[in-house]
Amino acid sequence: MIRRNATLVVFAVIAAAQAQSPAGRTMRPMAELEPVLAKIATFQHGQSRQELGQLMEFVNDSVSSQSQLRQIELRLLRFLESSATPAAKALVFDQLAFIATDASIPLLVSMQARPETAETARFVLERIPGPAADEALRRMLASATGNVKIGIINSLGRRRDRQSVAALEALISSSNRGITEAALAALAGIADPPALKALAAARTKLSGPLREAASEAYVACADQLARRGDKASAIRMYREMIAPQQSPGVRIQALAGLARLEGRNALPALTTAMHSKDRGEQASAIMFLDGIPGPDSTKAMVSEFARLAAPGQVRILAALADRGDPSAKQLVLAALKSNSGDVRAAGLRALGKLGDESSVIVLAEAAADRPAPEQDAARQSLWGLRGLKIDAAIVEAIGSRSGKVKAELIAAAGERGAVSAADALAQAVHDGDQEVQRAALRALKNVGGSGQVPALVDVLVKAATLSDRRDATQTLSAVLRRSQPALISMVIRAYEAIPTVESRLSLLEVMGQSSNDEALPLLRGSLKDPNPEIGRAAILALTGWDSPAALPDLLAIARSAPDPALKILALRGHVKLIALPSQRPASESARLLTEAMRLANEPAEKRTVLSLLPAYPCQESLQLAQGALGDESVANEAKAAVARIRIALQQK
Amino acid sequence: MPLVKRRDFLKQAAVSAPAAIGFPMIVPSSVLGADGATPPSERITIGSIGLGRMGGGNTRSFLRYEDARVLAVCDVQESRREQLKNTVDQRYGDKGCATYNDYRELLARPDIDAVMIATGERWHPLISIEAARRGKSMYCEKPMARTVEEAMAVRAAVQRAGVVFQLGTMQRSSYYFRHACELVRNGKIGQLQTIAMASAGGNGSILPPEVPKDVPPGIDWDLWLGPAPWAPYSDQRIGLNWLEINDYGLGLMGGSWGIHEYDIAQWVNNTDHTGPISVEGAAEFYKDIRDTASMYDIEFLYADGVRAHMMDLPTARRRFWQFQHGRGEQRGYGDVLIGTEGWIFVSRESVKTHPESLMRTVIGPNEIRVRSSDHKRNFLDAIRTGRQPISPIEAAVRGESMCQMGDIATRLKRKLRWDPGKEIFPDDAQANSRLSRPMRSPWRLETPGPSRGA
Repeated sequence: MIRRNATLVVFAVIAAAQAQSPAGRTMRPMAELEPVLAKIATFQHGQSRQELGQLMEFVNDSVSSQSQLRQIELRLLRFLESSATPAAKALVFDQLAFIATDASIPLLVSMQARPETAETARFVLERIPGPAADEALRRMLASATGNVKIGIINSLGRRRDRQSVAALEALISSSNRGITEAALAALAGIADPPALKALAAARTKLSGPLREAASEAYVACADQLARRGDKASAIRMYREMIAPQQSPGVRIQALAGLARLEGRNALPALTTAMHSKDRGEQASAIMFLDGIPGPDSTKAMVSEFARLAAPGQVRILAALADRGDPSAKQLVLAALKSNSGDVRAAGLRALGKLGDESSVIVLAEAAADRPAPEQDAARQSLWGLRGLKIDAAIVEAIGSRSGKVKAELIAAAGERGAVSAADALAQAVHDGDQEVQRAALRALKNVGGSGQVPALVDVLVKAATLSDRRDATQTLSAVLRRSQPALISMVIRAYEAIPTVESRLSLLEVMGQSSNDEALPLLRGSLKDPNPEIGRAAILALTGWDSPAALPDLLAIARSAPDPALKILALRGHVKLIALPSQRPASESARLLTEAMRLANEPAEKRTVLSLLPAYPCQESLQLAQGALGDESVANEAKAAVARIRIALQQK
Repeated sequence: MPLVKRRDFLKQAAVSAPAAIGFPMIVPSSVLGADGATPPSERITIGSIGLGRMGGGNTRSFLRYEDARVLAVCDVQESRREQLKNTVDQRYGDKGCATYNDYRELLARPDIDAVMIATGERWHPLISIEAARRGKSMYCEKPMARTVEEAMAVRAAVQRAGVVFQLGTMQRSSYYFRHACELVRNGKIGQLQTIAMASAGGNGSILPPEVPKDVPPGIDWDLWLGPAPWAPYSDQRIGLNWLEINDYGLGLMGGSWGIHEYDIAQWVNNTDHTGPISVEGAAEFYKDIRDTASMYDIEFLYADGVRAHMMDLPTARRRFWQFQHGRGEQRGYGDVLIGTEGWIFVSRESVKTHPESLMRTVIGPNEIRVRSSDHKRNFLDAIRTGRQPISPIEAAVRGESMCQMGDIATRLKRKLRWDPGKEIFPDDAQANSRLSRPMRSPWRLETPGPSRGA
């Protein structure tokens, strides 16, 4: 890939183009087109397309002037008649397609006769509005063969050319299957009475797959009639096509149309289709039934439920849940006792939509003791159950239940963000059951506030295992970041009071994640702690800071730490904090990065610095990147940085 | 839809299909549904069409699910389909994965419930429509089409077949984007005013000319091109450069990345069912083998006054400082959502908010929630339940429309009005003519497009 700085567009040009109104845009003189076309004339695939781009620009710059577009059209037509290469003509066709008028038709028709230009000429012809292009296509249809003929049929169909119906009807009998199918599809698109008659006749004349194609075209024709407002004809055709002798595919398409047009009057047909032996037809029928609003379709689903096999029941339950009709709740509760695990899971999911506070215990128990698919469904439902009394019911149940059910209720409180459960959860972190404790600690991450900080600090410093300490650290960090006021002083006091290294490491991590400046003095002090683990944890905490406040500290360690590992750690943190959004001038960021580059010994750190430089486009950044060009280990990155900074400076 | 009972078909296939030769004597118990595994008859059977970077990855992902089974793979490049077949067979411990060069043969199999489509957008509409016609649900990579008309034709086909369509805009299933969407939809940043989108581009590079050559053995070039205009084979064209060639798509502001951010804009703005009312912008276009936009700055206006800006990343960083938050990230593309009371920067790697406390806001069940944490799982669940997936067809069409509107406005170099109800540019034949493209014969949209302006 070649960098092309000179041709990079300065966005001022774009802005200027934006500012111009079409009326105010200055047309480029036609004379500018000539050298472009002269260069394109000899184009062969594989050569530069630079001029093609210029031709496209020229045409696009002219779109607001009809008179200029006409001049361009005539010029391009002359080009197509010239001795330019076929590849060049293909490029010109692309542009002509958007501006061609009736004036282009004679030449396009003549080019249609030549195999090398037949398709591209048709592409243009298909886009020209008006009856002259229709007529031209019809004339060409008679003499064309093979794929060219199919292309013309397709174009006539897309143009909805009613005058071609007789010719298309005749082509249904073609020995070329592709032509027959194209003619059927074109007639479906035209969809006027003669086309409809032709399709009806084709359904009786044809056999095998072509008959199926005719039937599908017939339904597609009904779709077109419906779009044009002839609903009565469309309904009559749909009813004809849902007959048992039709294939399931055709019946489904007709049922879709019927459901769309007739609504509840289509319920009997859809109910019948729900019991189809074809799984696809059954699934589609339930989907269409669900698309009909109102209690009648709910009633139809409920009444047919028992007669369906498990896959159908699963779909009905899902549909009933989304409809939100409480009259279906009894059915949903009954489904929880089904012999099929899939149906029970679907019932639990539906209960999440149709249930209320009385469903809390049912769902919690299912979440606690059912196998995976049902357990997952029950959990999701418990977490998503809507209503103003749900959280209160969960808090009450937390107080009265134990073991796995209690743990599920606690998890649900967390997932629901139920702040009203925070005190109950804070109590539960001291529960005798470890599973309950852990669930409470995790749930507090979402709902804990200032009131729970003391309890969480206590849990952290008393944590017996690494896993418990990790959970407590994460929860306390999250709660502190959310709490107003942030009680970081409590963490600092705990740190000072607790001599255990493991607890101290966790508390340092909490301070880092809180990014509260009140903790900075302690962290600075910890950098000098005789225990290297404490020093390392303090560096990591400063690295996690969400403001540049810790920059000087990290830079100092990067400069002077005796341990190379700590030096690299601090340097990475320093660079990370430089990259945080800030109001500092680009030159100041470049100065900080220059210092970082000076301290970097490893290619990885140097690459990070170079990758950041283009974000601060200024002469200082450019100099730093240029200075790294001679360093073999990062020369490629330096080259890329220089290019990007230059681009950014140009665009400034 | 299955016209033949699956067990019967499998029985027949075991006798006749060359792929079935060498079926191992020892069948893993999970295949038989033991130990709580989903029995074969209940598994969702999948065929994969298009096995490049995205399609290969998607196919490998579907192998993770116990309740799904990849039965067949299809690609016009023999080496790709053989490689994926080996991967699939290795996963299932048999030789059962069939291979196809022509997608129509795969779609004709009645024992396949769903397909993964990742062929490039020149092919997506035709394959999607045929899949719907055959009753298959589909996971279709984005973008779904090359034109608005094609996208609308897919929507019509999906709706009349009653099948599930999931677009591969998987950012909807990631935590960061989901959290951002829920924050906006629940008014946590006040009234949404501005959506800024940053996508790939802005480097203004040029490529050396392509080198046409004979089609190598094992590649069906005519089928690769499909409905797109004829072009000679070249390694550059069949490589990733096709993404930025206008015959096949819209490049950086479309399938190369932009569709992801358009999709998020529509989602957070709760406008999956509609779209903006105007668009204007400017772009610089590549002038090598590629001819799509390399640099761009486009503005959309919604009826409620929300403005959406689609930009290449360098432009975005100049115009919206919040994009600096993505500086240390692998790409840095994403969205800045600005409301009357705060803002959100969201990318694949992070979410930042102002006020900062929004980062830890828990969205409760009585608020608006959008929940999917696994895009493919969400698709499989939608097939089983018949529910809409997280990236449904309507959202796909509307996102595609925004890609197209941006491209058309920058090529015509003027402000365009858009009617999201009729899905046309009102009284603007010049712009409307770009909402469709002819297809190379014999290909055509099987579902006729609607009459514009009807």
